[in-house]
Amino acid sequence: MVNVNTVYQTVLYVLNKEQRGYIPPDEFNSLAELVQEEIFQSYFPDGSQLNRQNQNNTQNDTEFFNIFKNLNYKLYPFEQEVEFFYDPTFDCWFNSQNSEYAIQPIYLLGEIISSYSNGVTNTTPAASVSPSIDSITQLVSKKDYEKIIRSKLTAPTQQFPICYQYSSPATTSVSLKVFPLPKALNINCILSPASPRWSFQTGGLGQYIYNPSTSFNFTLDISEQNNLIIGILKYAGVVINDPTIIEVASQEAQKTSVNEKS
Amino acid sequence: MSLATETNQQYYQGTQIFVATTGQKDFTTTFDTNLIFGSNDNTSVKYALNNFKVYTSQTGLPGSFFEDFANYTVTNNIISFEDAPFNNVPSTPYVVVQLKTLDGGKYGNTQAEKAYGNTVEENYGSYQYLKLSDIVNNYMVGYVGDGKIIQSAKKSDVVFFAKRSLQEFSYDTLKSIKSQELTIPSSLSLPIPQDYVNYVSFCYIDTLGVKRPLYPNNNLTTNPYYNLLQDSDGVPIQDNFGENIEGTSITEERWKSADDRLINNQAFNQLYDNFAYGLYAEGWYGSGPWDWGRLYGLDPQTSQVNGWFGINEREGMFTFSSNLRDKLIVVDYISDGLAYDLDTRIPKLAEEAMYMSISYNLLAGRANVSEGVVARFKKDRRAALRNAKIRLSNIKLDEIVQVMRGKSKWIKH
Repeated sequence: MVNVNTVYQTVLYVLNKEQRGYIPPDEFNSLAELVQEEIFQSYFPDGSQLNRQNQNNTQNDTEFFNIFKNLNYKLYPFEQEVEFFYDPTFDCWFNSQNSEYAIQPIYLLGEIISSYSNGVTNTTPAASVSPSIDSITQLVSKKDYEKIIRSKLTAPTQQFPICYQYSSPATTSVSLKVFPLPKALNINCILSPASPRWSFQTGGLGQYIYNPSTSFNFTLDISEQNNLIIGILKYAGVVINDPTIIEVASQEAQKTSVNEKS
Repeated sequence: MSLATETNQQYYQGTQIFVATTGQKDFTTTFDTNLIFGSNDNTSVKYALNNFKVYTSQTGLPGSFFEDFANYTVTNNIISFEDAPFNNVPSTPYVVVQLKTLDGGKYGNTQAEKAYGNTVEENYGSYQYLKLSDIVNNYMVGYVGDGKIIQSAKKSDVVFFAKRSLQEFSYDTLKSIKSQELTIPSSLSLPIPQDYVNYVSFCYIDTLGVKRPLYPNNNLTTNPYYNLLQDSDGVPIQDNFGENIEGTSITEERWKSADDRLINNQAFNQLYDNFAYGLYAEGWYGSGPWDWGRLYGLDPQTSQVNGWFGINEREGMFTFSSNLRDKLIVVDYISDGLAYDLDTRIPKLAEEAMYMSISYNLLAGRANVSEGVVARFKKDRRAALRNAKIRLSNIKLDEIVQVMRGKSKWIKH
């Protein structure tokens, strides 16, 4: 995680060096959230682009210089296995943000694992077949779902379950309909980043004193510290109306981007 | 990791022994076969659904094991007792889980306590097969992903082509292992098996247990699909709803009551053997049927006494000639490999052919795949399939040599 105070102090240092202006904490917090979101969002198109090297078999196999792997690594603060809960009213699985899982809203769904324990048997009276099966569940569109269930060869089974996204009236978070109905559902998710906040107490002279106990650091990986500073400076230049700041910051950001993707 | 995960005792005897620690209530079984649990109460109907029995002993000595009907449940192949066996006296009792087997296993002291069934036998030989789910999972790992020719594939597509491949393989590549032993009733017809796709052979079993092949009655009789009632002008009659009225088939009636010996020359051979020969020898060129065959040669398809079978598509029945009444027959047939869970398994000898078949089908139906790649996989599929067929044909040189020795051929090997 990137320390919010480090970023704020650095931004202030650069801005004040030539008496260009000052960014108060509230403005900084807004810009910090914006830039963090911008960097977070850029991972996905960048990841797709960098993955082409894997697809073309031109990726290197070094320990630390595989750019795709490095970018993938940056997602670890957002990756979390989230347990979903069954809603019998609407026959769907949903994520409760109040639970211990997924404090942040879910941004993307990854691998979906359905667990089955009591297999449906054809015996009468029914005996419980006890295998515990954890099956990778295929997320399909409603359209594909309707097609898949109509073929006896592809109809979902406990070994090959399928699911589709469903907008449950009971919750605002993502819901899924899973077939056949599992006993538990766990999804490897990418969560949205938490908003950073530089919190303060007012000193005797009216100055802002950093309060770490009520502050929130950036969720991004530590390697993103420079990008965060440059990004915030870019927007700070807009706020204080200084084109040179914008120009320098933009050039720096572009240089980094080109270097990473080439 | 080795692929065989069962111990020798688990595989051959269907037995897993636990020496319980003090207070231990949960016992995790590790058979390849999943435990099926109906009830622990032997007075319950569901008790018969269990595919195992649980025995406990205080000493572990032979003869000291008794079936345990204590309150237990089974989840995820874990047997959980409500109370520790023998209430911790002694502190290390023995617990045995015995899968049901044809000889009942060696732990029950009475016939009622023995674990009779065929759960163990169903597992015998299972190492030569792969489950369809294993094929799909292996395929997704080995053939689909970045940097591979198939960069991405929907699992439902892979499942579809895996099942289609298994169907195709079942028709002409895999061993035909389906057969039914049946006795032919006086109606001379039997229902087609539930998972029947096509027959391989019909034979009746003689008193020595030897197979006697039956032959199709294609050129002798037929089973008309529509048996219409007609008026005096020959026009079909309709009922009040405008549908044709159908009756029973006269052809089938005649065939059922036919004396087979009149078809295969047996009757005439018996009745007129000497007589016909005499006529012929005396220069009386008779016109009777007894001369057929001797004058013009036998028709091989009718010159057999085993009998005939047919398939009545209208009724979904196998039909048999009248000489087969009350005879024991065996029908060998093929299914498509998907009818039952136990069927959906692939011989390891055909594993590669299955992967190649899935690959080819995925690529052939995909847009923007170069024709060269498709052609390559088509060749690979064909080569792998040929290999699988040769392997599954089970051709052994020694067996060929043994057959050829009877043909006066000098074979060196």
